[in-house]
Amino acid sequence: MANVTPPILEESVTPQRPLEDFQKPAGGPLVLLLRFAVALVIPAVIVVFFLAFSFLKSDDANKLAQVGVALVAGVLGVWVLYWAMDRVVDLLPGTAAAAVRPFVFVGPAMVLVTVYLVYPTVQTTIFSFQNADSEGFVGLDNYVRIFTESQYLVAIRNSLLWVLIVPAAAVIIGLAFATLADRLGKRSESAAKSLIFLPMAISFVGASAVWVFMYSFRPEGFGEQIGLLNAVWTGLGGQPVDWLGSAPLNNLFLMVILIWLQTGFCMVILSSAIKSVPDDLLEAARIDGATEWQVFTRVTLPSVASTITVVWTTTVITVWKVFDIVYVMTGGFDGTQVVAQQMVQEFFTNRNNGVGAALAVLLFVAVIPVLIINVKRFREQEAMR
Amino acid sequence: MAEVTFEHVEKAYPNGYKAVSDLNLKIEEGEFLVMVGPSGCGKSTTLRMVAGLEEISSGALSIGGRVVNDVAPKDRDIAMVFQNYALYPHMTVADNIGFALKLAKTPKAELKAKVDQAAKMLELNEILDRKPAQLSGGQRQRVAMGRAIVRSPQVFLLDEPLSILDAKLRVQMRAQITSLQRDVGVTTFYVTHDQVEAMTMADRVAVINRGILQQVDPPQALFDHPDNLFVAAFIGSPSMNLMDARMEEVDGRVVMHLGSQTVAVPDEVFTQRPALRKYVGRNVTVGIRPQDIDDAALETQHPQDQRLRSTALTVEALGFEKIVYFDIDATPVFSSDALDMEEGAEEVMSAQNTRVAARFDAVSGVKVGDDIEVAVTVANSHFFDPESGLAIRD
Repeated sequence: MANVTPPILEESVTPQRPLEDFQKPAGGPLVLLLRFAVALVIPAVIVVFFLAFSFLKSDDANKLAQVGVALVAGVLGVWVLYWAMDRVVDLLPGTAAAAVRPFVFVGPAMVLVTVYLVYPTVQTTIFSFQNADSEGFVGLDNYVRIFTESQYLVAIRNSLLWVLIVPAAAVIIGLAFATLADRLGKRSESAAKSLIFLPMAISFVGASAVWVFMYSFRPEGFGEQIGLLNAVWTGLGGQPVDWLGSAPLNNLFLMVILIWLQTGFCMVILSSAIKSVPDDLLEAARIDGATEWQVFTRVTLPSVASTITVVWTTTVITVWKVFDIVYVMTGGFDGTQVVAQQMVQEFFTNRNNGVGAALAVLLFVAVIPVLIINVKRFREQEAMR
Repeated sequence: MAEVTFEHVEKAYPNGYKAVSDLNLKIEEGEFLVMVGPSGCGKSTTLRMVAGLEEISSGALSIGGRVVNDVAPKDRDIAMVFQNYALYPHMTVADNIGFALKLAKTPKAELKAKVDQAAKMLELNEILDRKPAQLSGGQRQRVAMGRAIVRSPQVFLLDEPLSILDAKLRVQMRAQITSLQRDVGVTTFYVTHDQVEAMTMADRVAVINRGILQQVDPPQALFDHPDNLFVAAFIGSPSMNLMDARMEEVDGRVVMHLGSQTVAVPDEVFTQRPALRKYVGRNVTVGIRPQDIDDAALETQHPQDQRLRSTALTVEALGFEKIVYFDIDATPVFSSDALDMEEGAEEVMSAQNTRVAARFDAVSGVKVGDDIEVAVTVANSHFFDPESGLAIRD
């Protein structure tokens, strides 16, 4: 099922069709029904395929055969499906065909979005008003809990701090690197950028595993200190510190990990934005009497402002969802819990669907303003054209 | 206001390529100097050196008597108009014009007054609140001009400021820029590849090619007395007809063989150019401007021995005149550099024949394929040494 790619075939299919097909699409309930039908056929057939090829999930089957069948049935099959449905629509009378055809291609994607996104959202929202086993409604109890009990409040406070600090730090450091790297020679620029970008390739869990050794601390009697940070610290004459155990700074230490991961992303995107600022704009500013710093703040920065918004909002969404870093590094102890990590804990450790769902809804709502900013910015950009 | 002086200025790149060689030039105070040349000739590099955007490899560049080789652009007190205008897209027209003043910490009231005044000169008052994206090409151009004049700088630098406008607007802006420059009287260095701009706008034109300055003169002088083949071929449209000629003395009178045809060379030619005497009996490169060739049918008084015969190959009727192309069998001479920029140069070139362009009066009845007789005003011809390409004068 996962190999159903969003259909983008429309363009390649349209040219041969006579023009009048597009000019007056038919309406009416029958057409509506047909639209639903064609939208559902492809996902339905795929589900049937999925079940029919259940041997693909069998461990005993020949792996190579599995791969072969999956490739042929998955890639070619999906193509054949779209093609066949397009032919079927050809059989309809002209105007009806024109009305129905788009749904052959857009329909399956819409169905999948509904099944995988809309339905879970609705279901989660319903869960959030139910008890731990999702057997009875409890009204706003779950929400009252997450906004009154201290562990959740700390999680919300921490998440807010993460959202304030991490995107700001990642964007500022990324912007600084992008600007400075831009002044380097071609080769040293790409070398420097690769180094900064490298962490992007590491999974959050992997990165956390690396940073465990950075912050590692062993209480007396539990062996030698192996942490890099403690090595530096003791080397400077300090006593070993339990970095991740000392609230509230331990939150900051966790954030550093995500900043380290995200800076590369910010830098790469901002770097290409900076490069697209025309040189003569900068030269004009220099001739107008601007110092290099003024050129940067008054010309470069405003020119890349919309890119900064994109990078910022993207990072904000990532930060709201951060779970793995906290889970791996501290498990949410010592006052380091965040909303997403609490959500997982409620759902799977505490088996409390109600509170878990309420936290999920909280996350969902928290991301909405960010999405609005993004959509608004996108519209503005479209309007500029 | 100040004069700009180039003394042995050179621009060499690390790979050894010399964009500008040994440039000596003085732009007088308040002068409108246009530097013109084909693309890649070093004219933009020269301008950028004045702006401080390009380092000077050797020599001295001074603005108002001060050597500015190592002075940053912002401290040179210059204003520049870029080819693509380089307007700040996030600022309004008013902010664009006032940006330099704002950086110079000009008091708000004074800044506004100056911006308003500049806007008034350029008829931008109505659009001061708009962003560059909402402006037409001509408006953007005027904003770029406004940004330059508002500062009352020592020198204006204009880098092909009209090249991205359409033809009609270009003609309008040409006049507007020159009158603006006369009004403010600021020393202006203008770079273009368009010889019409150079001729129409400049007090003096500097022709440059391959990084070497060819000639600096007022437009008319440049047109009437080109120093060498390049300038001769570059200035004027259609280009000067350049071909090999052999001068001989026959019965005490000098004639010039153009391929198989012969025209007489009147004595006044030699009184104007005594040095030409030495070329009698030798080959010389002769240049005849298209306007010095007319339909003999209309010039019945023209001496019989200053005429050529051929067949009209192309006739371009422009309304006020006809451009007629025909071949004569003299060996053509090309200023190879000029060829690069002449569109359709290959068409003009044919191995043995010279394709000659002539400007006939509009009343001429010549049609394609007609046998024609043309009257050549030999006295107006230009003569160049075939070896050096330099004009033969005195």
